[in-house]
Amino acid sequence: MSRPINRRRFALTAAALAAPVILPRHSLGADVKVDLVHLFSGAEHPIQKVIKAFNDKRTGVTVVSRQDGTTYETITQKAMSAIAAGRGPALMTTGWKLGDFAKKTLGAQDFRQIFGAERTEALLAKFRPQVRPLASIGGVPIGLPWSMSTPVLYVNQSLWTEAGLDPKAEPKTVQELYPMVRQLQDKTGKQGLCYEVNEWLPQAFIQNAGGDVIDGDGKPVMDSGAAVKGIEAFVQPRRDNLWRVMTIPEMVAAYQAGAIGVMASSSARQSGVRQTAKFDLRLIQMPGLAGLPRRMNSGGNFLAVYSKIKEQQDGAYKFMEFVSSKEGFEIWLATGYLNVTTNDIPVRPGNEAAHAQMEGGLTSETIWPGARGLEALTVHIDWITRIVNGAVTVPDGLRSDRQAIEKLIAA
Amino acid sequence: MSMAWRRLGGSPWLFAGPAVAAALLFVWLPMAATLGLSFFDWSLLRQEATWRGLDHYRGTLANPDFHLALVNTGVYLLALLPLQVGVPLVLAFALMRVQAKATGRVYRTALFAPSVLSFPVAAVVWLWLFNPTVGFLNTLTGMAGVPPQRWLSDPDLAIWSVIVVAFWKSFGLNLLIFLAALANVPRDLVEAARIDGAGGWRRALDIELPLISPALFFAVVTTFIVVLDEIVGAVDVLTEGGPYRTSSNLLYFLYERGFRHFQFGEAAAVAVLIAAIVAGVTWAQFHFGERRVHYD
Amino acid sequence: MSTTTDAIAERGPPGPIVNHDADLARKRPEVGSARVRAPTRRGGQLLLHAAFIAVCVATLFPMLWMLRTAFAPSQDVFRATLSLWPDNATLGNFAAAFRLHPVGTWFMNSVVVAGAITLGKLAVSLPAAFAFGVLSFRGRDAAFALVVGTMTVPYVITLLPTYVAVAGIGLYDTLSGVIVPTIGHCGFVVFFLRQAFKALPRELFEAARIDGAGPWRQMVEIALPNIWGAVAAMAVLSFLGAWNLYLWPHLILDASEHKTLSIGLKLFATTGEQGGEWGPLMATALLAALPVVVLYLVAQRQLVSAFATSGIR
Repeated sequence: MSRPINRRRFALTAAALAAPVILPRHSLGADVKVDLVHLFSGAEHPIQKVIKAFNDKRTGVTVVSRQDGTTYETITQKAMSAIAAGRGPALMTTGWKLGDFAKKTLGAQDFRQIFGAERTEALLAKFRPQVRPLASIGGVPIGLPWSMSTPVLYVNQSLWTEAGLDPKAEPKTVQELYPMVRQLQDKTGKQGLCYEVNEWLPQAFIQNAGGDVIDGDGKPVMDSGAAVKGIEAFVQPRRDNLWRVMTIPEMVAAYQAGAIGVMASSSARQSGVRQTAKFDLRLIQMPGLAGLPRRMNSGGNFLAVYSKIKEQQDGAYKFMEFVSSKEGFEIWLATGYLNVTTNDIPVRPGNEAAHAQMEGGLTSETIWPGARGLEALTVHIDWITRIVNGAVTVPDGLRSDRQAIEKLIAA
Repeated sequence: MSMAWRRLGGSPWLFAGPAVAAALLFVWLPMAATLGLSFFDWSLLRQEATWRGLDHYRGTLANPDFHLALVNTGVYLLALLPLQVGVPLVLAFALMRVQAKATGRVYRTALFAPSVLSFPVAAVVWLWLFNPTVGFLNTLTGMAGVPPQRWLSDPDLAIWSVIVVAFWKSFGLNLLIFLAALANVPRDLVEAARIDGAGGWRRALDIELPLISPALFFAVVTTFIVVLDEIVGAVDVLTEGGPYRTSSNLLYFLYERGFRHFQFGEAAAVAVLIAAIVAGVTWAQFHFGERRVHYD
Repeated sequence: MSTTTDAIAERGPPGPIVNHDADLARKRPEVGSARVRAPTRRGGQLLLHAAFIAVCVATLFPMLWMLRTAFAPSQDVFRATLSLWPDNATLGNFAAAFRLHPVGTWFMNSVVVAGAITLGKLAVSLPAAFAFGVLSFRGRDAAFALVVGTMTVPYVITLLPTYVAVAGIGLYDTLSGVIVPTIGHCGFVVFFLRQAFKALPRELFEAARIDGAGPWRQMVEIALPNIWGAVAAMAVLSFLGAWNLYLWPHLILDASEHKTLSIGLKLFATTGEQGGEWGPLMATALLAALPVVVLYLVAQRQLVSAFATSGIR
């Protein structure tokens, strides 16, 4: 250990360090390479299967999976840096909520311009009429409305029955849900409930109370009386000690470990949760608010093309043709996303609640307007987090939120 | 080989040139460019630059998130400077008094070990310990009868969790510095004091401590830099500055403005402000610290 | 662009630096040795050992916990026992980590980045340090100030323009984009090596000059063999610093297969947690920690003497 380092040893080490500089590059032959940036973790995720199924067809196009993060915000930020440096992705699963930002700041391509009106129509014809506008920004189609989900309740059925609750109970409102969660927590000693702290689930509460996050004219209105009422209902379980607030990754890990009774999250989280959960899992529709009409929201992503190279754009077209086909979409539905195509595919067992919720009618996800929409979204989530943690009252927090967003939209 | 060629080959500038060029190209030039950038609205995504004068400075100084980052940086410094200097100092003195040499070396190795890890590795290890439901730390507090904590998502706790990780990962470096300095204290001086009847505490406080004051000073200055710059790796992995920026610091604020939201001009202004703060504090450290430092 | 060890490497010791000519000659007593005769009583020593064992266990615990989790079979990962070694130790987590992410590629990228930065810094710094310490020429002091003055510049102020430049010349998402600008931050290495060169007796070079040796031969054949210790210390410090780089590669590298371990870990930590992949994540963290821990154990002596001889006593 104490031998002095002499010149010979030093030179040897140096040579050893320098050797791997020339690394062999992975070769894909003569295929057109289309990199697909996404946010889905794991080698077993259906996105890997969709990509593999497509690549196995040997169309002369190879799609390369590129996971850059786990949230739409992260992968969009990464893509922004990459696009600025001239190395943007060819395709990206772009969050609905960032559609405006994708068009204005990231330069998502207009399908009609790169594919022509006819081919664009042929591609989008596979999708149900009500979802097609979601990937159209200002009347310009910039995406394939691939993935749509909706918030649902993930019930740990083992804990639920252990607490003596009716195994078939489906609370229609949170006012029905909260006492059940109370019973579960008291009987099992496990945390009763966990909500996602983001912008999406609170939007469901605001809408079900009759409010809106951003109105039809693009004005932030998340501090209206109705919205305040919705968010009050949202934070109630935290005040009642039924919900210990945590980050989404912490929540999912805890839920999978069987430490949480009921979790509210996207139906599209199913494939991951089902894989590791070692208890009975039951999905039910997201409850609304007592005495008010249900107005649940949808969310998810569309496939947008960022490449400016003709070959890659055409490669992306071929891939999008495949994912919209019955074969491609059947694989994709394993995620827990909803069948938004006209393909006749039976509902997967376990996903009935999400489908029923869709049949009941879903609004779109809030689209954060303007060239600084991504920043606006981040600021909004910060305010929601402050409110949830009790650092500020609901009306005060939402008012400050609205004021901050107004500034960013105007900028 | 011609004489001229030989003279050229032996020119001192051929030796020093690359380092000078690197310093100019990668430090001094970018520094000037940052200052220039801070007066404009420009980024890689917008082609035209707009002159904004001092707007970015005004905007930043009025931004509550900047205030929070500034206050948090103060909290990080006030907590970590005494911890990262005081604890290793005590440990170094104690370690010098361990009589079994080999065992002392084992202690030193063990205590320094976390310091070779990078901040993200350290953070990932602690991320696992901090997990609110399956992490070991809550198991441990549970044994002590303390209710489980939300180490990283409790706004009152997150910054302290980051501080624990930063302390754990960095104190060994100062320990090494102090040990090296203590080993250099002339033995005869300590012996003489012992013969004069000075007790162990007296010798430590009156003889050794003043003699290692340059090392102490050095440790304070480097710790200041580590706390300001480098914990960004821990912040990013552990909390991403959250919840709602309560564990963010100035550098993380810059990272968010510049690289998450692509406001280059604003981020440049933040960089200039950080540099000004660093320059100010460093000047103060030298101005007030140097006088109390003894060089032999 | 720097991490802890690098912070020292970049800024170096402030204040007037004691010329350590004399230090090199003086035999240094070993760190941690029992040369201070303090609590001679047995009880005092016992107490001291008890305290140190407690502190060491607390310090090492998180690393041991990482080790345990990395080798624990998946069904035991969540089992909260105090035993530090899993019953059925397995390498399965490593295999799983390599399946989930290109961990092997991350590892190689880290080796390339750290190796190239270390070699690059030495290649730039050695001749410069030799020129500043041994040769005399017009403008030497100004040039020296220009190079060593970089130690006082917080690197954040160089971040944005360097990023723009790297993106502008097409080095975004390449290892070169990480390596090249980092080599430029070599002020401390130049400073430290200059001190080592300066400490060599002038007669050594006089004799060589009379023999007709030019400055290059003087540096390579006369000076270098005498300062290997200092070079090794700088190599180790630079390597540790470069291996642990975070913010800069985080900004420059994008595609998963271009990432280094430090930043790959961040991606893994966020994605891994969703699937509860703690075992593979800890296995990857272990891989990221292993080379630096081994390097530290091997080069401990050089590191300690680097601090001892830099005049910061």
